[in-house]
Amino acid sequence: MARLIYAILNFIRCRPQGLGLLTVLALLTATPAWAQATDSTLVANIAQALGQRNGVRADFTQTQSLAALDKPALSHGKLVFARQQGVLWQVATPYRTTYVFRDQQVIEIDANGKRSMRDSRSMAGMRQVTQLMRAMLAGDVSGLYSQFRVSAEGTAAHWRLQLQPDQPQLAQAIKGITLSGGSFLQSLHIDLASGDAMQLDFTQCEALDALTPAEQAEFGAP
Amino acid sequence: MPKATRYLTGLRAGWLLLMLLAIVYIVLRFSAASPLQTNVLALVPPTEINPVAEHAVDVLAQAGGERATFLVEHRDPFLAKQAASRFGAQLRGSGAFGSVLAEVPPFDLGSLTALYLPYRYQLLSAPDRAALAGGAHDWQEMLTRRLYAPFNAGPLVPLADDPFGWLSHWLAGLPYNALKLEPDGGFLVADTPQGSAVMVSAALPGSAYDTATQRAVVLAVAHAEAALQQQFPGVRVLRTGGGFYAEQARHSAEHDVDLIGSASLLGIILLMLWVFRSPRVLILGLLSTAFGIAFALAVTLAVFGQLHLLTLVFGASLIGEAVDYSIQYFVLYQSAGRDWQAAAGMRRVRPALTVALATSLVGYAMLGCVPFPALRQIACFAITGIVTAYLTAILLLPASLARPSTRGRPRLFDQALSLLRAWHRLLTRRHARTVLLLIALAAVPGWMRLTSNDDVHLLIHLDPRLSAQEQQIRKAIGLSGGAQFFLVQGCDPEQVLQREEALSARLSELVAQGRLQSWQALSAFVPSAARQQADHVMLAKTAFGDRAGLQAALDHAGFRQTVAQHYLAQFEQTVPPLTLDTWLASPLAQPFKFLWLGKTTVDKTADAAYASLVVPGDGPDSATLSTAASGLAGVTLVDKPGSVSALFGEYRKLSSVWLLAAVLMVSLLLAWRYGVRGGLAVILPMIFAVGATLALLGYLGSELTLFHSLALMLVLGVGVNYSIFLREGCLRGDDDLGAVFVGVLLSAATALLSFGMLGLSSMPPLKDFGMTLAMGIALAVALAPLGMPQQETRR
Repeated sequence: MARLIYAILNFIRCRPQGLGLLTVLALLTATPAWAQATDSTLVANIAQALGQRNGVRADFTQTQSLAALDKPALSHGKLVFARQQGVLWQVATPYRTTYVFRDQQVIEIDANGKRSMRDSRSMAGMRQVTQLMRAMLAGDVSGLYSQFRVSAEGTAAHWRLQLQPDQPQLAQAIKGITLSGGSFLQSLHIDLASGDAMQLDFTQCEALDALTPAEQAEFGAP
Repeated sequence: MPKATRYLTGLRAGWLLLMLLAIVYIVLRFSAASPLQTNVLALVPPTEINPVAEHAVDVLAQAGGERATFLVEHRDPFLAKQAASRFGAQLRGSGAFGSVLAEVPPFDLGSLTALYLPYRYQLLSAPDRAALAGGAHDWQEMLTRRLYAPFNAGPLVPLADDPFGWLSHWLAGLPYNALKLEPDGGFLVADTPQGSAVMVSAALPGSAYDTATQRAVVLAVAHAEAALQQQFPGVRVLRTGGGFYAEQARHSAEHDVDLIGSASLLGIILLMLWVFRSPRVLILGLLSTAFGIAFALAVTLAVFGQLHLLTLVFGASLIGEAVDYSIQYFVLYQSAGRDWQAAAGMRRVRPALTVALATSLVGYAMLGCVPFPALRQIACFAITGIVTAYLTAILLLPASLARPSTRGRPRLFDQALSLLRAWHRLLTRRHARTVLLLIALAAVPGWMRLTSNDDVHLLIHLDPRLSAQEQQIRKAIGLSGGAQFFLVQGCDPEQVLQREEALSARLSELVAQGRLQSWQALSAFVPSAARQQADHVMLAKTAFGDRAGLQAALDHAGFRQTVAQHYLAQFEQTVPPLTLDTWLASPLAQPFKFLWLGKTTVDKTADAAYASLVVPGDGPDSATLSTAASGLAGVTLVDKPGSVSALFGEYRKLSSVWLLAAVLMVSLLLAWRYGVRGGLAVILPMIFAVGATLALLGYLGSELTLFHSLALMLVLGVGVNYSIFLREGCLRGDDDLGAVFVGVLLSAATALLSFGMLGLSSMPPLKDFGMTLAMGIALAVALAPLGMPQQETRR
């Protein structure tokens, strides 16, 4: 029993926003190649399409509606998602910094270019996410279904996915995730159990063919 | 009927009754809970000066032994979970375990926050403490980073209660994340190179050293694993736990007992049948041996309450020695032919038997003087066994062999006599002396090559498959440490925590140097009151000393007025420090409760009333750790394997002194019986045998252990018997010397058989023991004729 609780507590370190975000990052690469479909085939189509894109570049606007704040907290920046390397999260405002997610590590690059390693253990919980991503990239959506109840609606040009946590553990932190988009993911909304919420809106989405040298450098040595 | 004879008859009846009682006692003991002890820790004496440390070792060992941990591994993460669930259900269904846990219930994320939230103004993580102490703070930037960093605003602590993130950082720094396991779909899962591994843990219903428990557990696991392989091809089940090791140890020891016992028994039966060609003699010989073993078993069980496996295996090999006394009587019986008089025969052979018994007893008594539970048990067993065999021979044999042998004196005896004479002549020639001298000289380089190894792990034969699995499990789930720990003592819990913090400061230096991965300590969860007070003062002087600045930063970041005011006002509330008791009462403490020994009853010194454990992870050797603890009040490094190894080394070095003492005592005994010259003649071959055996070990590259030394002591005790029998035979001055030599050869053959078989044992100490004894005894019997009086063979 002892070791169990020990390990369970580890889960606390899982950041549900991270879970939602990265799940969606996988979806970002989707080419909606479906026309009319039922929920499950719609989702399956998304996943299947995932394998075909190397990555995505997009501008993001993050809106956090937090109970403790008078007004929502807004931030802007650029997102680079590369299947091979990982994710760059470049915040432009209100302060300039870049977070690099690769493997199980998080590296922060501040405005002066100084790299610092964030405790990778604080990203525990990314396990499920990366696993999910890997599975979905391989066109296997069973991973998604093991974590969420999924409902989909719309068409290829305009779709909406609703993810409801299926695990009590996850449900303690997340109420639900809504995704919508067309040929790319356009928005992501996460409702937290605490009542706080986070909205991500993506614009200027483009398929990623190759990383620029600057991006390459930010990811660090291969 | 003369009075003496009646008295003797009564004595015999009494003796038989006693043996019967012993056998009944053994049957009773073995039909109840098995008295067999397989726990290695039970073998060695207490090694720690500090009684609390010894207690802590027991607590830790017990906690580890009563669990079984499994990893169900599969390439496919989803199949791995399904397989784990199935495996758990199978184990549960088997009824072999007290409880089985595969699926874990969802954990209430809020309880950790709820526990620590009231103390948020007095708990600081080490980086935050250092940063605050460093001065120059940009409160506004701190808030911005906290609000906008992705994944930073977790749901752990409500933002309103911890805008600057100090409590969040503190919670994130709790050592809960040492394990690589993570809950996933209701299971605890670790990533492995082979895929995904799901943990299933089970509690044993009884002691890991209980035979019935072990059997049931191993059987249940084997069944469950077989079923799993069918249903989920490619699945792999890794296991670890004290029970598996104990079962393996018991299994191999039982195998040893069976093999060694039956092989030496069969050998003895065949040899005796060949020499004596009389079932009656054979049965009598076996009976006296059986009595010896049975009574030894009963007495050992009665004295020690249990029987260590090592004793049992050793006991099986004692058969070879216990039969010696009877053999000497039998050869006399056979050589006498029609003139046989049972009582007179015994009178003639008794001195030889008594001297032989006395020298053997000296050897075993030296073993018994060692304050080493396992050796004491072996000594008790051996002494009881040979005394019983001796008494049985003296009491029962004359009555059982009253009628003369119908067979004439075997020709074998004459052949033996010519062999003995030839061999003795060869040995006593001038050239032979030179050869012996040369051999002695050749032994010197062998001695120089001798090395020693006292590592306690030699005592434990771990099944390589089990230890490989344990390694994989530990690696996969990130478990480390366990063999060494720090004991921290103090007059009250507060002092214990403060002393832990002093130790933790040293350990974090080791971590910074990359020499240590992590450590587990209660003070990481509950800082001492002094530390909490200091952290509160730190916040009061820095952040809350700049209220205007904090307020401005909160306003700028967009915090609601009420939230900011509440946060600032709450700081003024006087909150008592978080106490160990509060924390221990929470289910969150469960995984670490074993670290708290509490008020110890073992050590009543006021300064050491309370105690806790600090467990370092893998990496540093005990020298590094002991440096870390040096000079810290109330902190002791407890390194059980290390101290047991050190103890072995000490005894090994001491054992050469005992060996000398034994030589001296046996020499005195022999000098008293045979005179100085005669005594020397009898003992010198043995000294030669011991020396040559040592040299052989050196040439073979064996590493000397305590067990080699003990074997040499027995070479002396057993080997000298052969010289004694021969010399006594000469002293008796009749023509049965050939018979005596046959007896000696037979004794040596049986001893070589049983000790040689011991050399096949899977237990390293017994193997060393057996090999050394076999070599020594072979040399001893070859040189034994040197102990005979010079003129004897020239008659």
